[in-house]
Amino acid sequence: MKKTMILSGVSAVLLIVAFITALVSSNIVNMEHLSLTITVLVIGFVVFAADAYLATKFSNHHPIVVVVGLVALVMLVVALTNLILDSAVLAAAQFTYDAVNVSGWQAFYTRAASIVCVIAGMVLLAVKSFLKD
Amino acid sequence: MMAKKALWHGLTVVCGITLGLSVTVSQVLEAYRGDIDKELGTVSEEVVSDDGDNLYKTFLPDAKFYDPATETTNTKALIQAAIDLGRKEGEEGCVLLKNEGKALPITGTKPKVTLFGIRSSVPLLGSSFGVKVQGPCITLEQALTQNKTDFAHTIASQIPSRGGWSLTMSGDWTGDEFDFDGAGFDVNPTMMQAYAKIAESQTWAHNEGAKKEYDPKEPAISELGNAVDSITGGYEETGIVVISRPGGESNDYLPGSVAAGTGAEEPLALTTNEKEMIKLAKEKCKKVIVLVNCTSAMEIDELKEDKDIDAIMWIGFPGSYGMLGVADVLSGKKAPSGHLYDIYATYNMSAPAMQNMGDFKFSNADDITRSKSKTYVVEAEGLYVGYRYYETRYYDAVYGQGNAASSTGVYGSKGNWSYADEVTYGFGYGLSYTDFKQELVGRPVITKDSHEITMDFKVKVTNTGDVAGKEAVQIYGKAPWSKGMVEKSAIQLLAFGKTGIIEPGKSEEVTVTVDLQDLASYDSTFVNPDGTKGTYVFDSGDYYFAIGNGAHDALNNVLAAEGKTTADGMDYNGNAAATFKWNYNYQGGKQDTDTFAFSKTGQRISNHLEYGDWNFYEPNTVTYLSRSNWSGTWPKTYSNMKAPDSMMNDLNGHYYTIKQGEDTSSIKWNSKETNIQLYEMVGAEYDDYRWPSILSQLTVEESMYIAGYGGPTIPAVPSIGLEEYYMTENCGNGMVLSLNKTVDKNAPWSKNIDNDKNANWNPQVFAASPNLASSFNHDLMYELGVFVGEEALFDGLPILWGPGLNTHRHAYNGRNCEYYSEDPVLSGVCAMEFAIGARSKGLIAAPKHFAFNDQETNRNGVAPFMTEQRAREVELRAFQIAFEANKYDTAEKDMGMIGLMTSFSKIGAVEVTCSRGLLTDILRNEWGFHGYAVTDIFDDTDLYTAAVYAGITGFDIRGASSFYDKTKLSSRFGNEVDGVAIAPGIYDGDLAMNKALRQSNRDFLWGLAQSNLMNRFNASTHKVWKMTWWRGAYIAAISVTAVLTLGAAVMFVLETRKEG
Repeated sequence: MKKTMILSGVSAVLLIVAFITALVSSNIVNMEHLSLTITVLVIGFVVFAADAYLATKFSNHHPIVVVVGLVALVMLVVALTNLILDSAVLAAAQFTYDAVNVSGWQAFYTRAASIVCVIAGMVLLAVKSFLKD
Repeated sequence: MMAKKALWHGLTVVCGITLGLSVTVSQVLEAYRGDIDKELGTVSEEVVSDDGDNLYKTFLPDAKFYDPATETTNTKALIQAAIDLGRKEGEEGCVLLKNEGKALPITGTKPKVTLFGIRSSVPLLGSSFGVKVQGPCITLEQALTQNKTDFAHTIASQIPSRGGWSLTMSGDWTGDEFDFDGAGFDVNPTMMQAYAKIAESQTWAHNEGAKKEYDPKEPAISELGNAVDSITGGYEETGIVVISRPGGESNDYLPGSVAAGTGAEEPLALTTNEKEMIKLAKEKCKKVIVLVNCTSAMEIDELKEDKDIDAIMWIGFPGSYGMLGVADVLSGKKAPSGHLYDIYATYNMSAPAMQNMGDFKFSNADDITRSKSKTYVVEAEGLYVGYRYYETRYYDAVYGQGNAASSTGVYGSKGNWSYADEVTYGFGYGLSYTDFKQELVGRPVITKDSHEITMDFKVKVTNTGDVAGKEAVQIYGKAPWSKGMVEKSAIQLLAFGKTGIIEPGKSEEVTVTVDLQDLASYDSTFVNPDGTKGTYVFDSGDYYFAIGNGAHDALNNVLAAEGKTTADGMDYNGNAAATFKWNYNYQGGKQDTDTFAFSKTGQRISNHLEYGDWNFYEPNTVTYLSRSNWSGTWPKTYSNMKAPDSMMNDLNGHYYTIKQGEDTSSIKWNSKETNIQLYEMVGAEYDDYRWPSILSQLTVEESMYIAGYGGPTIPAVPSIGLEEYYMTENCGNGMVLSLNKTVDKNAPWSKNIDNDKNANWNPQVFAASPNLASSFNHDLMYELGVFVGEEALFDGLPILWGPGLNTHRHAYNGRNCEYYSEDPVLSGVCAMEFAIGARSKGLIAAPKHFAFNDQETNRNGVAPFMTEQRAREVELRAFQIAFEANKYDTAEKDMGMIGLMTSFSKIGAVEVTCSRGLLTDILRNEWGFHGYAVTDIFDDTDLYTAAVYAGITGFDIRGASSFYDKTKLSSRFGNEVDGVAIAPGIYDGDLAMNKALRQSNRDFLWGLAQSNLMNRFNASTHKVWKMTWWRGAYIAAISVTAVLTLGAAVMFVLETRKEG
């Protein structure tokens, strides 16, 4: 199996994890941007899956693969932005006056996990883009 | 070739990622630009007016701080005034509890003293969060020894609830230093240095909070090393010991929760190291004085009984400058005049409330769908909170009734229950350096009308000692009670006043007005003529009114008037002459169910909080403490309770179902018939004829936004010319923002603030709430409110989320520091005076947490269960006194507080935020409240409809600084309990919700129209975008990364073509 396919596959899996943790987090403390976040994560998953397939069918540096990768990147940026926006207020509360709010910390940690997954997806996308066929 | 292509591909993606992250950062910065401006002092948006007509004319700072003629701001005068007020608050809040052999004051020329305890080096000045003090401060050592501030090297430190130590101010203090006349003591430098060395570990701070498994970490004597040998050469004359317990938001103390190895069984009891330190002081010093530096009542009975402890003085958390006042009292410049805000029991666990305190989870919590509805607390102590329990049981023990003297509930007594063994110092108790004689002058003037009875007592206070001083006058009341009547406390505070400084041999007459509404009892079973249930009743019989040094003294005076003596079991004989007996004979001896059956607004009183009682859902399940049988009704611990099916709907938040198909055409929206702007409504009365018109100009969406965004920003409402503003801050001991972070830099007094050397002074400097309460001084309370109002003008903020007004249900509430007292009259008057004072400067004081925020444990949704009598006569009475503010009503104007914040908690199984009974039926209809009523942060946005229907005027969803352009109602409030997304149109067929929205908007906008926000609006006011350094940074980052991304992409394409 090609390295590029593995990286794209792992990225897709990461987005599924990010999707699940975002849902779990929102179930604990409402997320304002939940709908948009899960939508772009799902699209991101599909795009990464397509990327894995296309990188195998063509080449890792075929223009179509590059464009698909950039589309994936946009999805990741949108997801990251919304996840951070939805975490900032919560984090501010937890770190100032509400440190004993167990539900708040659960929501915070699950959101942090979601954010880590998205950033990891970005890193893998970057690594993949440098790989030779 | 392939390598180059891979390189350019890779660089395109990396640059793209960097670009994406830059965009992410820009979005986050813009979303929170209001908060960022507040923290960094930048101005990213500015509200400007093209002309100056009517701007900054309504509320102005005092002429001492700002001269309009020269447009000169005097920040030094402002800080000096804060120091003076803080000093006064520190002094008047001191409560002298013991003073054997006149150990205090410490007099002489430069008297030598030794300070003991780590808290003598790092005293608690405020809390971990809430009534925290920030910025430069004055320590105890400085107040005792110095005559000039050293702000540059004395910044208050903090340990937040999450842990970690830091200073409360970033950067250095480079502003003015201030002269003061300190106590002039010579403090043992070796011991201070030893403690200062230990404190370098940063284990202690000036602001800390309560904790589970608490350990005060008092150092062992051995850590002082040879320093203890320095207590000679005069330093052995007087030892001053400081003992402390912190307090703050988020955490409680918990029963038995003490760190291993401390040697204490309870967190508020002295630890082994503290006892050893006191022992050292006793061994080394001829005279030992203990300063009690706490707001949660410590267990200090052993110090009271210890003959080698000469004096004990409570100093609370005195704030940034309050140590000057403490020093004034220690040195005798001022005589102490404070009185205890709470009872100090021998063992705090002896309070019946402690039988049900802490973490209780429903046994069937898994069946409850709402995550915030899993916990509860049964307040089975009923009416008997704080001193009401101890004093009432004492009274019944003297009379031998109700099994009061049984061994049930005994903690400090040996065998049967004994007041003297259970209580160390009573509520309202306090000594002075002089003696005062108080006498009732004649009969009180009694004024009656159909629904009100007041009594004006004149009390002559004579200074019979040899030191000048002030004295508090406390009037207590006792209503007739016998078995079968509703529960009544045997004694309760009804009113208080304070003298000025009375010279020895001189007298002053104080007039104190009692509102008998505060002595009426709530009977929830009474059937009203209209068929509803519940009203205030006033029994015929003998009433006693008494003065005294606290509740216990007043009760003993009453008992004396009733013919009781020590032979009957009293701990000392009272003074019958200090009482006034009044026989109330209503219609031939009937119970009066008419006089107090209507509120001062004319509203008939009836039950509105029946769901507060567990027995409402499941009859005969909870037994509340009753004086008819103290032992038989002593509270059991209600743990592992199963929520009955009848409670589930409430616990799950099903409070309101949106109606369809009703005719709502009577409520007009988006009307173009008028074009009134909010600035035109400055100071308008609530019933001003223009309100209906301006409200009808709103669109439904604007209306829903106003109700949806209560803080910290107000929404932009284009149809009435309201711009978005950051508008709120926390707490009641001063405003949080430093002067250079004002959100209103257009204000003439703030225009040049960035060039002012004192610009980073932070005004959150005053003492904790119990200090103010202990002063028993109306004028001081009002003065503090006015000054915080001044601070608000300099901060540019129209709303203060404070002061805290919950009841001290017990000593273990970690947040007692932020609330005044266990007594509703004392608490209510404090908040009233503060709020009315603040209002005079255009600051809306919004006391919190309305209501029943009785513990920090599980506060986010905990369900406290109690009777409606308990709710109304304890916690709500404090809010009622403050909201009604009857003292300030005139024939022309009905004054009152015009803001509030609701509680995180429930009342019974119903969210407070959604309790229409509390927020509309009681607050608005009975008490006549109008104004800003905001939820606490994050509070159940899925209950928007129910909360607006209940009567809130805004959700506080913190951080939504720029929501109006970017946020959709449906996304912010997308998860209503009943599955309805909030959006314009959902109330089209619901008349009640249309009315509720209109009412909510009217209250909110009317509140704003009374505030200092009106300073900055006129017809030409609009908002403009401003460049800031952080904006420049992200724009540069986006530009550079975009160019690089594009460049890499172009190179990739060129490389691909070459290959092709």
